Amino acid sequence: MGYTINIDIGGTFTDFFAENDEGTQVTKTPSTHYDLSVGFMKGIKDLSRKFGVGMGEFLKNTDMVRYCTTVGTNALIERTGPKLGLITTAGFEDAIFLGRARSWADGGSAQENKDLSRIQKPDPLISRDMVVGIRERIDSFGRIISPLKKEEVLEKLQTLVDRGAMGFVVCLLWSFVNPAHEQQIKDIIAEEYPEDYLGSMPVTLSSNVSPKSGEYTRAITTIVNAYIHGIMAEELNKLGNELRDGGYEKPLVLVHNTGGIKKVSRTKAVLTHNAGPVAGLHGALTLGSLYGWKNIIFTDMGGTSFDIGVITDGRLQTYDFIPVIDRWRTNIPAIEVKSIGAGGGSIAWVNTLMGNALNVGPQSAGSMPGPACYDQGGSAPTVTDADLVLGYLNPENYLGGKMLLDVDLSTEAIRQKVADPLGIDVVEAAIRIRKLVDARMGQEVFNEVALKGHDPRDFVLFACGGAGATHACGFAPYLQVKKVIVSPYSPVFGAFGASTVKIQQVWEKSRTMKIFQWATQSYYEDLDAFNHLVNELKDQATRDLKLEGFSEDKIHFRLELEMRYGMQYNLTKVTSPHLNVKRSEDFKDICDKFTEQYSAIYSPEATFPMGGINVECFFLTAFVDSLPYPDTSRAPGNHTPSDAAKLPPRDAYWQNAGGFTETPVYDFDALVSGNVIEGPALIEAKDTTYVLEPKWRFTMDGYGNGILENA
Amino acid sequence: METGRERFKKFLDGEPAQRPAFVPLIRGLVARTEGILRQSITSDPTLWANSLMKAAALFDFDAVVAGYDFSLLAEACGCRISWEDDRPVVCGLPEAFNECPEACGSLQHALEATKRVFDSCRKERGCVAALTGPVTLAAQLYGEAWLSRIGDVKAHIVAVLEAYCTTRPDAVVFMEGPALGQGKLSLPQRKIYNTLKNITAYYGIPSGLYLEGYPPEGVLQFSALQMEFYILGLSASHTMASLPDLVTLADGAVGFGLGLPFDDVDQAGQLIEQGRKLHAQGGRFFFTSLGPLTRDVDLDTLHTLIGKIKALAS
Repeated sequence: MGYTINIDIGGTFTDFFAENDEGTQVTKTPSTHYDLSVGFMKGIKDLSRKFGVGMGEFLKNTDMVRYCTTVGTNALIERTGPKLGLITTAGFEDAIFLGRARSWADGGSAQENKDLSRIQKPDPLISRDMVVGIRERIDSFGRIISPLKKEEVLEKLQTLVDRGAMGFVVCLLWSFVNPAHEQQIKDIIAEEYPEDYLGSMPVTLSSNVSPKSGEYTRAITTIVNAYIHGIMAEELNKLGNELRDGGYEKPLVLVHNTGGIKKVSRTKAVLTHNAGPVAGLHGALTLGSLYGWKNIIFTDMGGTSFDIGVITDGRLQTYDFIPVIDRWRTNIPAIEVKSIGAGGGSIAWVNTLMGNALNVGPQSAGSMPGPACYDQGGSAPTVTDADLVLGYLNPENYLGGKMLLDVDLSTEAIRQKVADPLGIDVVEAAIRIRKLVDARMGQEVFNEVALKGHDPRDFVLFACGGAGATHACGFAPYLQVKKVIVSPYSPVFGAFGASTVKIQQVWEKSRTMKIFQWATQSYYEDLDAFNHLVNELKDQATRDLKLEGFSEDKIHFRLELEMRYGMQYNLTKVTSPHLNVKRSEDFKDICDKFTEQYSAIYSPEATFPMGGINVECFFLTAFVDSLPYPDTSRAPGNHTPSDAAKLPPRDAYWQNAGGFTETPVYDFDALVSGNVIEGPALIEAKDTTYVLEPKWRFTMDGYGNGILENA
Repeated sequence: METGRERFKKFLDGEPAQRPAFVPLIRGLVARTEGILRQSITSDPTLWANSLMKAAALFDFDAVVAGYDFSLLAEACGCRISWEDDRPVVCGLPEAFNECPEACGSLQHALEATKRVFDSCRKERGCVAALTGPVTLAAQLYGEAWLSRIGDVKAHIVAVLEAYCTTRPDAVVFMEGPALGQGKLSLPQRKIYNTLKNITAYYGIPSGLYLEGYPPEGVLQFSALQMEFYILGLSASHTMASLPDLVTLADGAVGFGLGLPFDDVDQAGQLIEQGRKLHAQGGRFFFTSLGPLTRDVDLDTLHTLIGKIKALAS
């Protein structure tokens, strides 16, 4: 087997995980936001060195490069996309500007959303003068009520071109039922601006990107996709060329937020958003399956953000509501991961308007200038600075010694920006920063689990990310979980997770079917309508995966349905117990599953069968068989760590142990399965430091994972 | 056949090249090739970029150095500049500091010109950005009190360095005058250089030190700054650093720039010959000019010496 390389780009660091028959290697490089390919290639070079081969040989013998990219998200945040024109049904030109209920709050932090006097809708990705309405109409059954007029389309197109359009988005009413008019417009554009001319214009159809009901979210999803498509294509081509120049001969593969991977050439841009945390969540699912754990809380504390995901019943959950990308509410079938601005690089600041309240984040110092201790010109105190001042981090062993930290700069930054304004000493300020960020993370995770109807005590907690092991003992008590797992790959867990993601994609289509009638207490009779739609999605999936080179017998399917009572607003996604229905009673099974899930989320008292039960949208997940994750567990060794694992002790601050105390320090790489360490203690791994608070116990298990338990 | 950029990159990567690269520090020569005053160039980024590219192409330099001017950063921070004999002179201390130096004065034009030059030249020639070093800048901004104010220039120089780094040069050079050589290197001096090197490391750009007006006997102390390469101009007593001193200074670094005196063709010829031998022994260096190439440089001498350097490849 050749090498596989997995890369996850974060706000502060870019993580790498590579493996072949001989083993695995990991590395981290600072994310180079000025040109992501710089950090990307630097990490690959580092990996090749760790495998002891030249970069050319390494890339030549690499079978797959999987990439969780943030190029698209960056383009959205920085607004570097092209000027687009939107063609919609006449009378609906203002739909994207009106938005949808609280669309002004979409993507805003909790703090921003509370500030009602200041909060505003984001500037639209397409300005009002770049939207034109075409007189046409297709009804909800897909019948053409008013046909399209070519002359009008040409006239409106010219208007958009004259105003500087560099691409078109087409989103017409009911196009997800009948896309004929959208296709017709695309043909007209292709005829007017042929591809072989320099003036050719890319056209994105809503019926291709997001064939689902809801004009606003369908239009926004299509606009976001079109907005980032060009930039992503350009960046990924550039990256592909660099890899090819370096010797890599296979296609670049992207991780999707739907929990699958696909080649760049077969990826919709909008599906790459937030792929890193989704990959991490997948990694937790894979590791959890080795232990037989079905309920897992996944957390990843990096430099910029804290990601939270929940696995229940051994399955990843997709969004019940509607995922937000940057400030835009979309309708992609993404796996649900929540991110908050809390990481090692989160900046501590004193809010003078709120009576000198100490805040941490959401702003991050990022990779440039980074925390004050990075000595890259930054002067803002961060969580990492607090950890350093409290003695938890070894200034000479950060990132395995690749980056030297300056304690004096951390102390000065905390003194100037926090301690002096609050009239406290630097250590007290550092403790408060740490406690605050731990509390915020703990509370956020608790909400994420408890408000979905789960008891956190039934879960195991994965603490991942470069700062995860450093803060796990701080935020885990908020959840009262029994076990905290820190994988040896936790500092690069997104990249590790990418290595576990299989070929998978979701095909979706909106269609309303009332499968239970309360009045007659009967279930849906039109089995063919249900099966026809499922088979249509299956055909699309099979065709697509066959093009990727997989034979039909390797492809498996799973059906999920978005359902609701009567005309309720919120939809609940349910995994259907039947792929195809054979008799009317099969719909009862589906309804029972829906009732069970709805009750778990909203309580049994909230169920409303009197409204009947509707299916509103079909999601077919197609995936390909993959090899099970290898079980590499080792028999436990000694209870006591060997002398080789003991490093010189150093002073670290423990509030319940009388302040700064000489604390034993261990070398993670020298620990073996079965070793047990009682807190307080520090365990230094290459890219992270375990902070084991008093009354906590660390055990290295057979897989090399650190198990933290509160005694 | 190597391009100039390949040659210069090989120096930076510590790989053998067909011959040492030639990377002169150009200043007044740019105005001369364009046939206009230097003062008019600094207010027009297009003219500035075009003249830099024209000079580099005319003499086939292996790398183009942009921003080689001690007055740019001082002016951007708030110092007044006067022009004497078409040379900018920093006069007096600033009354107020500009918050965004990278967007002020001629420096903003220099940055724009640098970006354009690098974008256009990158395929054939190496790209080097030069900016005033922190110690000299502190002396320019704080006068006699500069020694205790080195930390205060951090914000200014960090912002400008970042702006230069985003133009994606192959190397950055910090230019220092006599201030750096006064007394022993202090901890604040080493600390600010650490910060600057951390920033260039983030951008993956090697950084070098250009020094002039230094005490001839104290050259070796600058190795404590741990720069990737060193270029020495004339010392405070107008002497050149010896080749053995340069080799020792750059021990542990990527290499050094060997300055050629373009006003002394014989001495320059001898240095090229010494360079040939050093190159054959695997010495890591590039040829540069001993100080800037000014408006009054003798073009015939320049052509002759460039010819000799190019001949080293055969």
